[in-house]
Amino acid sequence: MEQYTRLIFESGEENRAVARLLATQETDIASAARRWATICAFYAVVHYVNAWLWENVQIEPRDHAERRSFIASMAALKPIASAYIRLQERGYDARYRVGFQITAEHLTDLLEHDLQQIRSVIVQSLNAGS
Amino acid sequence: MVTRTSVDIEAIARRFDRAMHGVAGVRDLWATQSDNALELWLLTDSISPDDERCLFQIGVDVMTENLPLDVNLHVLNPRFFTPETNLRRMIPADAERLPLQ
Repeated sequence: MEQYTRLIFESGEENRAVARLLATQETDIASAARRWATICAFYAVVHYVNAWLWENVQIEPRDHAERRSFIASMAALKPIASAYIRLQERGYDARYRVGFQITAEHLTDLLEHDLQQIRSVIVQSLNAGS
Repeated sequence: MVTRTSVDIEAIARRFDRAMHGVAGVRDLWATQSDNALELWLLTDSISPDDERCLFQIGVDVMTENLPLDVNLHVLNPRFFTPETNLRRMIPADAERLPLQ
């Protein structure tokens, strides 16, 4: 794995760690913490996908739309497309839409299912190439 | 000069409609089109994460069918909003409502 790929991937790991930390907050701002955990979860997968793209095609997407196009068009990334889009949608909702809320149960589902699926596929692919 | 890509929105809606048969809780489908993207807004009942994943997978399947423009599916699931939230308000005012069976 290239050094720069590793740096990008570590950014994903940091965002994942922050998401998990925020998900476990049991304070009077737990609801807001879960919203921010949702956003961090999305940015974790942004970096995981960016790490894969850099390692395999030496591309850094300019924006979300370009990244999404790569995910849809590359066979290795297509299996994670629906989980990625789900995280993107919920991340957008959490950031911008008034009224968004996420229960601890559904946040755990996002982190342990969608985020984990994407991370597993990316890690497996990156390790296979190293 | 920017030209709008011609796309049969109702054909895409029919494609979605066929694929969504068997997925519970689908209520309304709306669309807006910009120069290079079709935005689809799917309003649902309060559906489970697995049903939601199923809908996003259908979105991916349609998105990767070599259409002449990007297709972005937005699933508005009341499960992720406070009870008083009006999800219909999140759909752009100029959106076209597409028929579902």
